[in-house]
Amino acid sequence: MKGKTGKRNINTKIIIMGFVFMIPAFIVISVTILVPLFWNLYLSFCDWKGSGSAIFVGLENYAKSFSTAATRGAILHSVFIGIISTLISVVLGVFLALALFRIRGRLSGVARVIFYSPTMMPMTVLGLLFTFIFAASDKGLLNAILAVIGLESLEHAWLADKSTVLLVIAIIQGWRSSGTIMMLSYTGMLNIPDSLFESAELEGCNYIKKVRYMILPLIKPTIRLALSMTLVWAFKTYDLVWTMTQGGPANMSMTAPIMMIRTGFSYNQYGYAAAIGMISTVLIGICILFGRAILRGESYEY
Amino acid sequence: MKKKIISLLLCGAMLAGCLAGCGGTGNGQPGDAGEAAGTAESTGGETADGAKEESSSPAGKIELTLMITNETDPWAEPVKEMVQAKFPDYSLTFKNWDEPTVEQTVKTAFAANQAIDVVMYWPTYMKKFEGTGIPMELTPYVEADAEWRGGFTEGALEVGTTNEGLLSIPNSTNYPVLQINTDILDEAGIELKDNMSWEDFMELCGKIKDYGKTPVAVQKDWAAWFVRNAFLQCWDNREELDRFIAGEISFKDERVVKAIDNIANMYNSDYVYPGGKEAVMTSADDAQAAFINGDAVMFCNVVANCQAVSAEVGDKFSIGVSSWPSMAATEDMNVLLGSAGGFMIMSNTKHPDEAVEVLKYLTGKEVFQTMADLGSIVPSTEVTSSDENYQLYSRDSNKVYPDEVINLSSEIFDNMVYNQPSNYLYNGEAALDELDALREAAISQ
Repeated sequence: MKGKTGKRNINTKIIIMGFVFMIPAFIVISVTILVPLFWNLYLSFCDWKGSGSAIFVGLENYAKSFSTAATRGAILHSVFIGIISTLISVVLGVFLALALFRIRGRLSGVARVIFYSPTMMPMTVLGLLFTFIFAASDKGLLNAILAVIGLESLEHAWLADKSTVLLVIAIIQGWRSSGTIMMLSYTGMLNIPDSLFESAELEGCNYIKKVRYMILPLIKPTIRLALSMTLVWAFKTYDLVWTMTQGGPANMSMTAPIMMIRTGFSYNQYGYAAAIGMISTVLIGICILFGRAILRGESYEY
Repeated sequence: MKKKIISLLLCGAMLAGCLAGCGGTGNGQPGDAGEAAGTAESTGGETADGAKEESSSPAGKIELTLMITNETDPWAEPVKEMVQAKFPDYSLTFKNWDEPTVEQTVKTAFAANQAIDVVMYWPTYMKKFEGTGIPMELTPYVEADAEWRGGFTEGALEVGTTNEGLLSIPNSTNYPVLQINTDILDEAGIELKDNMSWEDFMELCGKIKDYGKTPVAVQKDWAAWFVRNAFLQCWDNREELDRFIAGEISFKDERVVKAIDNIANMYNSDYVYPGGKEAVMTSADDAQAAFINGDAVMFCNVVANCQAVSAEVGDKFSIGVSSWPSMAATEDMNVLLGSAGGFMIMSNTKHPDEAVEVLKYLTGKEVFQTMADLGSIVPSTEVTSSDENYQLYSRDSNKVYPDEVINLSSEIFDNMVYNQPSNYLYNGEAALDELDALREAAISQ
């Protein structure tokens, strides 16, 4: 009896201690995430110019977000970039990880560093680099290459054409994020026990069959995590777009984050900017849920 | 044991990092022995950490935070040193001025109740701060000092005046001109008229294109100058222009449509480097390189940057300077957009009189003469210059109109400065509908 009471006391102490240890983290998270989030939510129902008192305007800011073509366009552009770049990064990242897993050894280490290096580069540097590559004039590297190989007809103003500008940005964003997906997937693959591969080999499976029936199902939780991460990153695309096109020409590549900053800090409409932010947050959430639903399936323990 | 030693070393490194970090936020106070007395430097990208909480330093000096120089301006360093030398009794903190973030920095600082006492900001764009309470009204100070007021050229102070009074004092005038490769024109036997109308300009462009060269190079951020100047010049008289600027005339007015059609025609005729509508995305480097390499004959530039481009060209070819082509029907309407560099004081400054003293020095004869010597066009009646091109660069300064329709609202400003003429080229009259909706929203407020 005494022993049970003592055990319960110890458990209570551990729980209390756990809460005490959580306090610093809770304070930091509250100050940096929860308070701004709720403040942003409140602000989205107000008209506030950055100084003075905020005036409650109900759903006016939300209605304006949906009725203004430029804002609607910016949000849709962000959705497009988010979805396309996530698809590219996940497909490319997993494919690279599978290739690395196949070759393993020293070469794999070198290849990992090479493929991961874009992720380490600042977005602004990448943006400037690709601005030179996709420049409209013959000074653009891509156009110059097309000319050299006799494909002048394919030369294009890549960043000044509605049909290509968002795609180009999405491809760069996807390519950049693929390094992280590759590393996550590769780590997931390394955790698969060798005994499973040995069994598969005894069954006569080649690498493609192993990938299809073993590796991909087993790393599905990792891919789901990667999908959520890249979607969030891609939706927040700001620096890449800003360095490459600044949202232009004619708002063709305007994204929600740029629109938010412009609305808030240039137009002094902080409530409207907050509403755009809240709409974007909800859209990110929906896309993440949708993506995770597509990849839903059993989780395997091994 | 090894792990313990490594842990101790890491803890030591973290502690050193923390101390170094704390030491760096000294609000510009001369805490380090090696630091120049009374001065400090911080970056403009920060929110407002350089702004002060205390009214004076421990040494009893008045503390002022100044964001008054752009590193790319040739006069930035000399003027900073002059200010330091002039006010040895003040503790001055200089924050770097960064064009894309200056507005954001000021507004964030104000929201956090921190003051950047003197800020470099364009007087022509002070309407962006109307209703925010951020800039301090300077009218009483200017009216109280006849000597200071009398040093400015006629009308110079008007550019910083809004409905809320004089909010910014100008320190330079700047407006667009065309720099021209006259060697190519001579080779082609093309005559250059001194003051070109829009028709003269298009005729010249046609001849240059026929000669096998691209007529004009303009970088994407400056392409809107064509539209903005056209919207100033297309009216019958200044009364109509002022009504347009006040938002009383629609963007769908036939004169506006004709003006912007002229510009679209220039792009669609492949007169702008590298050709086609895509020319609206030409980078600054590409545009300048096209002119310097002789691919483009005319280069759209600002007077403050003309000497730098001339230096880049060197002996490659001769450069002429031409006024911006005019769509005006009468000489009276041949006005230009113009910026004026200048300074404002934030209203939450704890030392308004001292900040005004610094402002007076920054916009007084001594600093203006230094700026003029370094190539700036200053709004002063008191400076002299030995540069023979100085008068040429400043000859149209009286054409600068103190207001533009872009000042009607921040949204119209952004739309016209960053989205025109591209929006019209790609979306046609829908671009004017968009502008008109913004105009209606602005006047309804």
